[in-house]
Amino acid sequence: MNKKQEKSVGKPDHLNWQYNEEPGQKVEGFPWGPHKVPVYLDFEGISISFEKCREGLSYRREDSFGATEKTIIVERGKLMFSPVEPFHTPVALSNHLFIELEHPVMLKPRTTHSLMVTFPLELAVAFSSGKPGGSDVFDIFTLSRSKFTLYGSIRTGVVCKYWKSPVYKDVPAVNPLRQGVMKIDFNNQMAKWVEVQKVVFNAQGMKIYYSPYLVSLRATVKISSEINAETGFIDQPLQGGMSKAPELFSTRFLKLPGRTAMEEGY
Amino acid sequence: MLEWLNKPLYGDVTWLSLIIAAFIFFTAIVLSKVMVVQLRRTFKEKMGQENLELLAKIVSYGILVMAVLWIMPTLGLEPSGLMVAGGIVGLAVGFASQSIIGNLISGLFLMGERPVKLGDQIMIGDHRGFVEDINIISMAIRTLDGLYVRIPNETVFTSSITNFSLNPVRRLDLDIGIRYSDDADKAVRIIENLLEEHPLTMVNPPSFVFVDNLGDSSVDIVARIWTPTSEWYAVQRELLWKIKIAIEAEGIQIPFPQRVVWYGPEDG
Repeated sequence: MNKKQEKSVGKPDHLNWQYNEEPGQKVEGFPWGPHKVPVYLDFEGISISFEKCREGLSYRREDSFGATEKTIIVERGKLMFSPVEPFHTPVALSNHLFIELEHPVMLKPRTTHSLMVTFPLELAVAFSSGKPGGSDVFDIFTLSRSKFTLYGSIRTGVVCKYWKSPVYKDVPAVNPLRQGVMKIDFNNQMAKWVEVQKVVFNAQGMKIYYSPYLVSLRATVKISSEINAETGFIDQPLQGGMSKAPELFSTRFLKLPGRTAMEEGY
Repeated sequence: MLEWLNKPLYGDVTWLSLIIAAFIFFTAIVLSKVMVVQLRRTFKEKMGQENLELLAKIVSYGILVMAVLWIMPTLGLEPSGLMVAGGIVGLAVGFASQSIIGNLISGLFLMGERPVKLGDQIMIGDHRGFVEDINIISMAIRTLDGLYVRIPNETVFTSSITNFSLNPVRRLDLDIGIRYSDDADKAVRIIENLLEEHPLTMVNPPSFVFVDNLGDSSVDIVARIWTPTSEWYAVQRELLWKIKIAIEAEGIQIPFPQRVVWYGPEDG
């Protein structure tokens, strides 16, 4: 019996998780939230274990690229899984998310219209000691594809995390480990039709909510001139019964958290 | 008992005035240190580090200069007299310190122009490294091999400065030579796919891969790749070897320099 098989012994039933994108097949939700030690989880080619060891608690994540191991010097605690802002992997070098729409959207003059797009996710693993302030993220990884792009000119532009998304009218069926669903309220304040091809959001103030089947975000895009728009977030879940994900980007010192001025076109 | 305090040391200056002057001076030193700590704490997240250091130095030296001007009359020195004397001394010192003044003025212009900031990777003349300190007289850089180099501001001001960190993205050019017998279009496609998959090659500005030259021994393909500036070296280190492995896996080879020699029939 190899090591992996050994760890699978005694795996709690409620942590068995499988996602299948084939229509008509049963979709089990992902067990976000806190879990008691020991935790063993296998999904999408990733194997996670969190168990007691001689020094305290031992965490191990294994995927096709290798393994991450950490030892937490503490007697007891819980493991927390939650989706977080997609800005930590492979390198934390941007605070902005650039979403290119697969097909441009035309907006009528002086109207507000809501549409859905997808956005990339990162998964945070945190340890919670149960005391106030005793929760800390110690591992972040992603199953989404990571790319970067430049918004603006080479001299003054901003490096952004890049994502290309179709546009949906209703909530699409997506893998909640790889993609979230963002509902965007487009508000065309101009007296003419406008075409939107891309939107840029700030990491600060992203209000991500999650349930076993959906990770969501609500955002606004206000278009005020030919090349200017302002994006922001709404602190509301997309559906009932969703929990709020931790915000890893602090907004304490910002007067207008999450607002991004798009001054290089949209 | 304390009558000695009023005993004159020289002129009207007594021990008491000397103690007062010393007290004011040391209080000013303490005050300047406290102000610098407070400034750094207050503006740490609101100002650039180099601007904050400049502000701290101005405040610190400003407090000390004011303290010195304040205690001068206490010590029997009139600042107005010092200015007259300073005019004559200044002339002599000025001749002797042309380079210092040159560096000082260059430093002021550089602070206004701000072509570099702390932490930037730059090249000035033959020196290439990271900016460690910028002050009114000189700039300190840490070279890529870990040496400390102090460059006078006058040299910085009159030299061409290359700042590798100023723009958010930077282009990386990789040259790959393949055999004339290999399919160059296939090689280009393999490299393009590799760049598409790599997370640190930019979507925009886009990368370009094309046949750049028909060389003596190889068909030369060039890959012009845009990366985030901070990741330029990491991408350079990683990609060239990955490209070599990827194209060789598809049967395309990187040739050695070669020469075809034709032998003609012997005369006579």
